[in-house]
Amino acid sequence: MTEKKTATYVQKMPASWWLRNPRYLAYMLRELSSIFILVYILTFLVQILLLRDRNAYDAFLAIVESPFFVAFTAVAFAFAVYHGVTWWGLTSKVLQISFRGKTVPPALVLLGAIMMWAVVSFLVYLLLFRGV
Amino acid sequence: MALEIVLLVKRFRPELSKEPFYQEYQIPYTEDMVVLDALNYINDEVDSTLAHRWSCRMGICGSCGAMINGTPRLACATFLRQLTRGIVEVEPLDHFPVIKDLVVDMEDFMQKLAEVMPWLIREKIKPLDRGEYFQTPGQIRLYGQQSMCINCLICYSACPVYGLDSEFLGPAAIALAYRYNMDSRDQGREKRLSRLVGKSGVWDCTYVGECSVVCPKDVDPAGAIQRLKFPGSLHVLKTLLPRL
Repeated sequence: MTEKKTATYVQKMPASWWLRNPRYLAYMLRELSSIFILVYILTFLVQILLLRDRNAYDAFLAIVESPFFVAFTAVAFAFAVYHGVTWWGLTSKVLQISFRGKTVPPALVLLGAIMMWAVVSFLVYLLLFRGV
Repeated sequence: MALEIVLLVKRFRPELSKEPFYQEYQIPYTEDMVVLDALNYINDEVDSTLAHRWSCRMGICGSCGAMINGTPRLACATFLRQLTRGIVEVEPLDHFPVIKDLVVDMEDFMQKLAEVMPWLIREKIKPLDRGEYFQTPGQIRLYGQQSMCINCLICYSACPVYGLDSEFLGPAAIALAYRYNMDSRDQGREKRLSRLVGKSGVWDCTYVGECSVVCPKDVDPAGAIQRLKFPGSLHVLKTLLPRL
């Protein structure tokens, strides 16, 4: 092969690329959601660790019951739901479930997955708060 | 009075300047014009120095991809009347080095395409007199969608992962690997998977999904990449535990 001598102009991606269209933004929010979920899980783990020490646990409760932390938890919850819904949205497109030789439409797979998710969430709720 | 339209074209003329610049063209407009017609009009009637690739004019050859109003699309399949903005902006495909005006350097993709071996691999080739390899319609359906790829590179322009790191094998090459891996006549699955699970392969994809949105042939590269992650994991397991 002959060596290329053509001058080329290299296009660089701007740092603001994710603002270019709503789908890129939705993707970035999905990525960002993991940070909120991580912080929430870490706090939860700390809470479990502190169960051994009554005083430390009470002090910790005072922190998580502060308005700031309640607001953070609400945002983290919203992000967790967003992450879950979009994750199932994407997964439903990837899963190719065949039924009687035909592929089940992604929208139907998504519906099934969300319903299953809701049922499991309800069971967890019963287990934790109703002591079933 | 005849209708007119304004095209703002990003130009790069290495013989004149190291930097690209924008040039405005005001040309006659008709309802049935696609962006490619406008570019051809400019080239034929207004400014013959404007360079752009095209061939079939009907969404088959995959030559005329460009950023049209910021979205990668085929110029031949984009009607001017579909574009809402007053001025139509046409730029070379994102993420590729520009050779001249709207002409980008495709070499990187061509190399990657060869790496995934987009052809039927047989352990032993059947002699011609033994006839063809038969497939049922169901077997064809497994890869039919991905076989529609026309290598137009529009998916690469939409992929921020490729934009940030051009080492990434990218949507079309992996979709074509999927197409051959799903083909009942092929026996090169593991060979391709070795490349796909390697450096800058399927695991680099974070499923932005934009490649599948912009694909003019509805190939769904994003879906194909995710579907390869499971056989890819099995392949890695097999190499770690050769006797499995």
